Amino acid sequence: MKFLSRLTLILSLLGCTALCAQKVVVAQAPQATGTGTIAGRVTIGDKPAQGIAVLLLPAERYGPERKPIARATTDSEGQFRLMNLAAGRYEVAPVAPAFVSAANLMHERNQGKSVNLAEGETVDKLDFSLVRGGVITGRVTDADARPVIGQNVRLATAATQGNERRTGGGSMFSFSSPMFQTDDRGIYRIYGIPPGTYVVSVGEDSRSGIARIGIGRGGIYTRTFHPNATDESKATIIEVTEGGEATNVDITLNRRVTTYSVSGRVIDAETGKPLANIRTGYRSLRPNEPQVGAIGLGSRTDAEGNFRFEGLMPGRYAAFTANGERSEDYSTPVSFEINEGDVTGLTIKVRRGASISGVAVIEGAGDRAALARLSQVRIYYWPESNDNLAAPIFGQGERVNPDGSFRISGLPPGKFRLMLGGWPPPKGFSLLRVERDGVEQRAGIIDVPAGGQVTGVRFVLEYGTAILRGQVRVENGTLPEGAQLYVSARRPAAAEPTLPGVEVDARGRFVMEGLPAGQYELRLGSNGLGGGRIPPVVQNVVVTNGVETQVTLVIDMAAKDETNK
Amino acid sequence: MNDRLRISVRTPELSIGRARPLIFLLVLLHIMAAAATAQTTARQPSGNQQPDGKAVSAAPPNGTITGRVLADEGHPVANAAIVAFGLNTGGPPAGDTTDADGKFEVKNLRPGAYNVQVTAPGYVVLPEAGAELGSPRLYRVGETVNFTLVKGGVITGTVTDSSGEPVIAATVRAVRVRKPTEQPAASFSYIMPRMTDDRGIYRLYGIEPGIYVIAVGGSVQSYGSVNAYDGDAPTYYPSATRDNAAELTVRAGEELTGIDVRYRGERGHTVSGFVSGQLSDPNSRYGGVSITLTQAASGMPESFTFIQSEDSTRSFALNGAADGEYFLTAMRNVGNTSEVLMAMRKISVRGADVTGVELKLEALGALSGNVVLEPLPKADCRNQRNSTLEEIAIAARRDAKTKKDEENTLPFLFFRRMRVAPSAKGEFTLHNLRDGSHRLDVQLPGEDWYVRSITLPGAAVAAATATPRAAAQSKTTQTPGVFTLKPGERLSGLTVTIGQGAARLSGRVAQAAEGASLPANLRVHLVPVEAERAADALRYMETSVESDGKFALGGIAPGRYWILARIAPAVNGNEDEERRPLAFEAAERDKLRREAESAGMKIDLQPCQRLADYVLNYNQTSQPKQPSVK
Repeated sequence: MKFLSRLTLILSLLGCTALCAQKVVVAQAPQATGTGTIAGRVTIGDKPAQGIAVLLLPAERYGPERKPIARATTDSEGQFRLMNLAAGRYEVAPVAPAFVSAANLMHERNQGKSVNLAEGETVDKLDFSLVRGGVITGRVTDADARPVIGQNVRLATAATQGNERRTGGGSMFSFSSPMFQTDDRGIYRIYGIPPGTYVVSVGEDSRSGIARIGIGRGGIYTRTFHPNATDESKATIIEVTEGGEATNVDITLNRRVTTYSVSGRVIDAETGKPLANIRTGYRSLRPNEPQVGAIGLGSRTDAEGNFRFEGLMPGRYAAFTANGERSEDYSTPVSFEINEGDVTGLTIKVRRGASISGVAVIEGAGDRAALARLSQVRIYYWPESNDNLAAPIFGQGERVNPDGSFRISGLPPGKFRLMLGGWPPPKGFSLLRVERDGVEQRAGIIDVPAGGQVTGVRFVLEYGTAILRGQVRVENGTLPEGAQLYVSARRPAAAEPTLPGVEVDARGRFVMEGLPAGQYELRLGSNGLGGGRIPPVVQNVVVTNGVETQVTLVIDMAAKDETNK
Repeated sequence: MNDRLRISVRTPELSIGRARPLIFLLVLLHIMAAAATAQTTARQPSGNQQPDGKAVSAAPPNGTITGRVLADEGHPVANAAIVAFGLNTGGPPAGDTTDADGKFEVKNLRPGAYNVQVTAPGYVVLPEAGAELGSPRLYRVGETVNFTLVKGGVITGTVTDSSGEPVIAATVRAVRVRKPTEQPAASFSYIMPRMTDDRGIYRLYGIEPGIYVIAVGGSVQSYGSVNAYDGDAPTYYPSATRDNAAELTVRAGEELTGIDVRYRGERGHTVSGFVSGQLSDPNSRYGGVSITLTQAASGMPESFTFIQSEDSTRSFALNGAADGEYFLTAMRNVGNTSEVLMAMRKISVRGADVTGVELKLEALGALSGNVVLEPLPKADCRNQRNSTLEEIAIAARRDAKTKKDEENTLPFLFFRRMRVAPSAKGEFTLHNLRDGSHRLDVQLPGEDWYVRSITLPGAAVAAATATPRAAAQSKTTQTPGVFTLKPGERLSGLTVTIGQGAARLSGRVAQAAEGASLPANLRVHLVPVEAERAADALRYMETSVESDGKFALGGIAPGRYWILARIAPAVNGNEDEERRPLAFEAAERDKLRREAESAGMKIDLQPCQRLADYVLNYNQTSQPKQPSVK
């Protein structure tokens, strides 16, 4: 009972159908059978780290299927060796959750290094230097000194600059990890924390939270910082040192605050009839922050079109019907304000939406293989407005039928930008332009009138099989510690890269596969970590389908000083 | 100049990647989607019945369900989350949180049957003792629910590797193998897994009483996040495989310390294959198939994966499987409904990878029909509760004798106890029914109604005209309310006729022999006197007798009955198993009838009659000996 109730709870909270669908496309895992080798050494401090698992992972760092392709364990010298590897793009990562990378203490994914491995190649000296992360532990109790069980603890970086204190937004780590939860004694223990200064809190404010079923009069805890401050500026800052342990970071929570429920109906705007089985949701509205605040998804409306959200704190919100399911309809979000009391009688009106339809084509297509894969293409559409009230769009875009046709329905009026979907997009495909009635649309934006059926849209793709293999060389200096480089390729004068940027690996190598033939401008960018500026690098290159092209990009660190002066 | 940043802006779903561990949740949620829509429950909380088991008030248009949550030591439990899932609404569940006095009030509920659940961290809800014939209690608007919670047990210890170093961030699970009563576990009890910390220490809490084994590592933890133990077979406490795992007895509120595990770090095997059948759904933008590997013995999910609907390879691979028996299930939702397509295979892992397993998605069966309410008989029937059809709960109970082990390991027990409520017009459909024999179980609001008949037009004709062999395979047997479905079969046009003006009988069983006490497991049975009703299982009633001899039966169709007290046959297997009323087994029914007839106690119940203080003499010597099934 416990399991089901908890899961049904969470489920209703998140609204599975919508959120589950946001999963990323599973990366094709390279075969682990080949003749390549990756070897290196893991050290902790200056000493070899024995018994550390080192995983070979797909280069795509996101997705539920991010399973190790191979695994090695370090020996008494800290050495590891991953063998029989096929050529491919990988990430190599030691798994040592209590440790952080010495090279980059602040990087979230601090331990892995990317490697572009060629056939039969041996990469050695892929070394990892780790230091023990810090620990913050404490106990969370309520006003009656009873333990607060199963609450999530949030950890955020805090820095003081002069009189001003800056804190990182929510949690710097995912607080869904079990170590952020208090146990039955109210105790939590967070480890593997990069050295630095932090604030620790429990509870929720209007920025956080999702629809909470079952939260009624008892309410929820106001966000409270160690030791007992509800005002973030009065939070005691915790200093975490390398391998250090900050203990007794206790939090005393106040009594719970009252939350309120919101109810209403979903009706057909034209007939006034209630609509059943419609998923509803809400988002918090904050005047100066157009981006997502709290988003909650309720469950579906009942036979009388009724919906209900529970556990909302006072504030301004908008209620909407969640799109994303194949539907012809849309609704205009309805704003509401919670002061002191439940909100009832909201009406969300559903109207027949506009649509965009047309055909996806491959420019100059003759390639049967490309045509056969057209149905792997998904078209994303994204509203081009920063309307605070707009309902968020869930989903993974619209599928393209095998004959190339597509139809996106249930759209509100407005401008929509069409993009090539998938992360990564299907290999070899890139978006060239979007045409409407034979006219290229700037930045792929289609203007959709209310209820209009926009037809004759051409989603013009390119298909390429060129391979670009590159080497980044750093001259007159070294890169800042922890800086991660990316390379993107775009057509001359194009606003957008043709393919998403690729990571430059630990050896300065990168590979782009599936580029359409032609001339490109390569640009080097970085994640900005490690401090200092990396001088911009732009280089032109011409690639041919089915041919591998080599390129070298040179970063002249001396140029950095020039630009800074 | 930062192209990476630009990418993250233009590709909204990248943000999910940033929250990688969330995917764990999302994936889990997906498999639960159907279950939640159907609003099923694995076990009903222990709600105290009204003193006389009777509903107290007429159903108002909208109303409340109130109640109180107490810990077994008697103090109120504050801040417990209450959720009421309406069977008929299909709409949002409503809830409340208990106040300092443990009280709650779920407001603004439409009339209907509600499944009310409580969650309080660290506590467990004990199963209702002697729940009548495995029918979990539902509550109607205006009723009161009282929950009794006990502190869950705690298991804590340290996990180290072969060199004594702490094993960090490994998932630790408690898997229940038996209930405290030493019967095999019917269904796994889900205890939230926890992870070892940087010292290798873990602490599991909120554990239901029972006999457990502790599993560390394994692929169950690898949903979407990478860890060092992915692909390992789980190590069981103290440092064993599943077969040699030491068992731990957990009692309510007790803490077991020093449950230290020496991690073996053995590689598990891979179970791989492909999914056939309709992978994607033309009516949904979403899709995808969830695949679960479940321990056959305990019903514990071991590993989980997901195939995207557009994945042309249709293949899956689950790693970290230790030697043993498993069920492999694939499931996906049909459109935006609660219907699912399913495939299920039993597999055995023996020292090697299992490859090429085909999971063919197939549609499941359905039963649909109408509930018809007969007019109130002329008899003077005041105090009838003003019930509505929407307060009825209907379930199809699959005959547990068919493929019992499968039944126990269906993903999260989703199919076992799905109940639906008819619409205001009386229409109902039960989806996701697997092949086999199903008994339609109709739970009525209050005690003033009774099920007069359950019919399927055409079935009787078919039975009459067919050969005996065909008749045996026909959709309905002679027992009303029992239907046999072929795989994917959909039966419609059922009519459930509800009679009003039911009678009620209460009293006690008295031991005829001087000084002797009543035996345990005593049950009172009503057997229809008329010969033409001999096969009508709906006319047979039974209830348990309390230790002081008291019993009560409501919702009795008016008529003449033999009344008999007899010892219930021992339950074979686990206690969670649905117990069918004896009358649904033809042989048991005939035996019961013979015994009741020879005992010769007869009663005549009029419409709406409330017969109280009835004394039934129990003469042990006249009872035939019950063979012990166990």
